[in-house]
Parts: sequence; structure tokens; C-alpha cells
Amino acid sequence: MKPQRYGFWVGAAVVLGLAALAVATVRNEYYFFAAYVVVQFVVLATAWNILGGYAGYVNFGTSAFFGVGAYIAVMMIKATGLPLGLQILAAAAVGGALGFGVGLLTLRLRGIFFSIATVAITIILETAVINWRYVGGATGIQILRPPVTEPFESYIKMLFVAVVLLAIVAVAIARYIETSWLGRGLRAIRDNEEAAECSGVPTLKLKLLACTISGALMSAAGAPLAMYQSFVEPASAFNLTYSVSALAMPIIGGTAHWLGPVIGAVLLGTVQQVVTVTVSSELNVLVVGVLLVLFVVAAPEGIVGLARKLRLKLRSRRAA
Amino acid sequence: MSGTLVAGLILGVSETIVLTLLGASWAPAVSFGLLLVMLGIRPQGLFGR
Repeated sequence: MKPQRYGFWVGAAVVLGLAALAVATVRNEYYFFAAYVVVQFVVLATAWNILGGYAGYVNFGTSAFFGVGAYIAVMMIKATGLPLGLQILAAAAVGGALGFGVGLLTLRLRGIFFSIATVAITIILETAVINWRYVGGATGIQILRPPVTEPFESYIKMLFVAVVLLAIVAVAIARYIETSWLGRGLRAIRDNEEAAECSGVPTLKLKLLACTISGALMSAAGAPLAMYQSFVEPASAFNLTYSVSALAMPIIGGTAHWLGPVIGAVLLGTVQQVVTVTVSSELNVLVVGVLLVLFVVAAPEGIVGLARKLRLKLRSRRAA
Repeated sequence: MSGTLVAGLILGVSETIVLTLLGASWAPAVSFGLLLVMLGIRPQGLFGR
């Protein structure tokens, strides 16, 4: 194995170690509440990028998957009281099934029509949940957190570790897809679907796989929301800002590389948290919008693309 | 152009029917449900070729 291949796993271990260290030492719980949101967006942005970045199908329904994940968790808490890990797994399974359905839509829909269909799915699911009394309907539902299990001293710290693990899994999957035959096939679909199909790329299989994985990860990211807020209501769980953020973060970070969504989510998520605390909570949507427009106009390849260009320039200068 | 007229009528009438039969909270799902079904079955629209 080349040292570069180990690099990712060393990085993942370092991130996990830092998270554990923070859990053990930091007393102020606010930091975990803020960091949780940032890491949750790392999962959402990475999941979005598997379909939107690699395959070029712009999914505007991140909030549908996210909300479904949250409500699957609510359902399980109400019905059985199963632990968090199982809630996340169940949400991932349902999200994967929903993703498969969205993948079938790509048979007929491309470009803007695919995006419109995903928005329609979001609104239909939100309406269904609003009318579903068992999970609280439009007024939402209050959830009592169960007592904390041992190594953690508070529930938010446990959720934080769970979401960090989820983010590592998501990034590892995205990285695997990017570097394997899957990613090559998806890139071929993005560039020209007919040409890809004609040259023997199994486009439908790849699209279904990408949609399923992406959907499963998005729903998994939504599952801990129930415990995080200890209150879930449809308008916030299916909020379209999740879709917009999950789309803006990879574009700002760069969609071609797995690091792009991570950088975008950490950068944008942190700025949003800081703005929410220091200025106002309404302003953080403006931050997303302004940065998105700036990057789409000035640096369509995102931060990763900028860094690559800079490195090439430096190298050519050194060679000259 | 006449297709838009027909679609508008269908949407309006079906939304009102759902509104009276099932209640106002189901109404938003009607237009988007029809949209999704059409996109799935006939992406070119009712009268498109």
C-alpha cells in the first residue's frame, strides 16, 4: 500500500481522537450543540455530492430525506424506544428505499425536471407527516431523552460522537465511490449519459446505487435530530434550507473531490453558527446565498478547484 | 397553450375536491402529487409530443 492510501484513515482516526478528547475535556455544552450542526452538514453535503457532484443529478430533496430520517426516529422512539444506533440504521434503510424510488425517477427525468420532482417529493412527504397524528401532526411532538449510557456524561456529547462517526462513514463511502469504478461511471454519466450508456456503462444501475447510498446517508443524518432538539415538527424537519445548504456546501467546497463537501460544510456551517450567535439567526441564510453566488460566478470549481489551480501555478513557476 | 388551460382546470378542481373531502391540510400535496405523477408517467406533459 502506498502511504497516501493510509493518509485518509490516519486523518479519520485523528478526527475521531480529537472528538473523543473534546468530549472528555470540554465542559461547556454549547460547543457540542454548535459542532453537532456543523458535522451534520458534513454528512448531508457529502451525501448530496455522491449524486449531485459525481453524477450531476441535482437533488433538491435533501430535506425530504432528512425529515424522513427524523420522523423514522420519532416513530421508533414512540413505538419501541429502541436505542439511537438502531434508530439511525432504520432511518438509513428507509432513506435508502426512498432514494431507490428517486433513482427510478432518473429513468425519465433529467436536469431541471429531476430537481422539480425532488422538491415535489419533499412537499408531499411534509404534507403526509402534517396529517399523521401518531407522530404529532402539524404541532410537532415532544420527546423525552432516555437516560445517558455510561461512557458519556451528557446526551448531547453522545449525539456529537454519533454524528462524527456518521460523518466519517459518509466521507469514507464517498471517497471509495470517487476512486473506484463507481465514480468513473458516475462521472461518465455526468458528462454525457447517452455516450456512457453506449460505451457499456450500466447507467441505470449506477444511478440507482448512487441515489440509494445518498438517500440512506441523508436520512441517517436526520435520525439524531429527534434527540438533539427533543422536539420535532414537520416545518423544521422538512425545511427547504437543508436542501439549499446541502447543495451550496459542496459547490462552495468543490464537487469533484470528496474533500470539497467537507471543507464547504465545515466552513459554511461554522460561519452560520458564529453569525447565528453574534448577529442574528435570520442572517445565516443570507450567508449561504451570498457565498453560493460568489463561488458560482468567481470559482465554479470551489475551494478545492482554487487550491488545485494555485498549486499548478506554483509548480510551473518553480519549473520555469 | 390550451394544455396549460386544461391543466390549470384539472389542478384547481382536484385541489378543491380534496379540500372539501379530506380537509385543507391535504391540499398542498395535490398539486405536487399530480406534478410528480405526470413527471413520472409523461414527462412531456399531457399534450406534449
